[in-house]
Amino acid sequence: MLEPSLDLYGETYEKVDAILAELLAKSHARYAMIIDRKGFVLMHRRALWAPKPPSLDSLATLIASNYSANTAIANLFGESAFKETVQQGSEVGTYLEELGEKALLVTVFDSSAALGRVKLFTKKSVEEIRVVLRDSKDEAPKVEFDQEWSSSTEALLDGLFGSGKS
Amino acid sequence: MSTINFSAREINFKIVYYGPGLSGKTTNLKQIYDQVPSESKGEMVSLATEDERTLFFDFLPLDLGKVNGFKTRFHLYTVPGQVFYNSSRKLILRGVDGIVFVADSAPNRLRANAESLRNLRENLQEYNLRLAEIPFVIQINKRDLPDAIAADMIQQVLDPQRRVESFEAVAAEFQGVFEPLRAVSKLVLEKLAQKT
Repeated sequence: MLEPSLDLYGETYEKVDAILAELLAKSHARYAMIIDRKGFVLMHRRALWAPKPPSLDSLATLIASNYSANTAIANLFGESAFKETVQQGSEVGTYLEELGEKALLVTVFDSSAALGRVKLFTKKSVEEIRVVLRDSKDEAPKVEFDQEWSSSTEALLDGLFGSGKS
Repeated sequence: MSTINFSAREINFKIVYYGPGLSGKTTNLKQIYDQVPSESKGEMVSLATEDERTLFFDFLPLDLGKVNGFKTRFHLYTVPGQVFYNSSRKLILRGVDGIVFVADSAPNRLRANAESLRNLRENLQEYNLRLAEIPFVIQINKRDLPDAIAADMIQQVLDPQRRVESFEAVAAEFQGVFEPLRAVSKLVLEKLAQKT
């Protein structure tokens, strides 16, 4: 089965992108990312002044796995989840909010941003994104995975892994 | 379940290497990382203990390329094989699209292979998944061991009805590493084509 974790396309995508931009501007955070709980990046925004982020794939995978592990710890104590997930180093920190059942909004900030502001505007953004997604009338674009698609992907597999033995 | 990202025009798949402790799951990922050209791979992440045993998972993203305007990407994961890390194994299986089971050819690991497969079935049940419904292949690793038991015997234990493809391998020497990955990737893509 193939499905998007969140319906982010068309006008909805533009609106959510604008919300992330506002989140960065108001919280003074470096990056804002929406990731799904399997660890895939769905969309991201970087403040103009922020340094290049580390590998987004690695970041998303580690954050999603860390979230899963924290939820499992909460479950051991009879909680459904921990209410807050904050990581703070001496320079950089991350703050995480659930976004529906399948996704997470992650804000990465440094010492120039106050944690209180980051939390406040991340929570506010989550609410705004929920409203945008609820009211979205965009229809998912149609994607055909036909015989031609299968042949093309198989050719790519051969190209990457070879059709013979390793 | 594969994920489509319309905004980034990407289709993402999650493939998990499963198997008993020390069967060579991390070695597979390291070899893949070493052999795949740099433009087709991202960073490899390993969460390991001080003695280099997998604590949580290893992760390697691969880019297959673009088809019909969509980038096709595979995220490869290993699980920690040691019995007491079952909570971690369960978490890694969330959203799995395909599984490579890495079996150990050592005679004293035959039972560990069987127990790991049973554990895989149990953990999949937590997500309401059945192994028979998931693209799945077996890699019989460490064929270079002087006392390696016959591959047939391992297959007889893991897949007595020969329902899935299996591949003999010496992962540490990059033998039989790409074949199971290619096979499971193909099954994953075929499954997607059938369902859409």
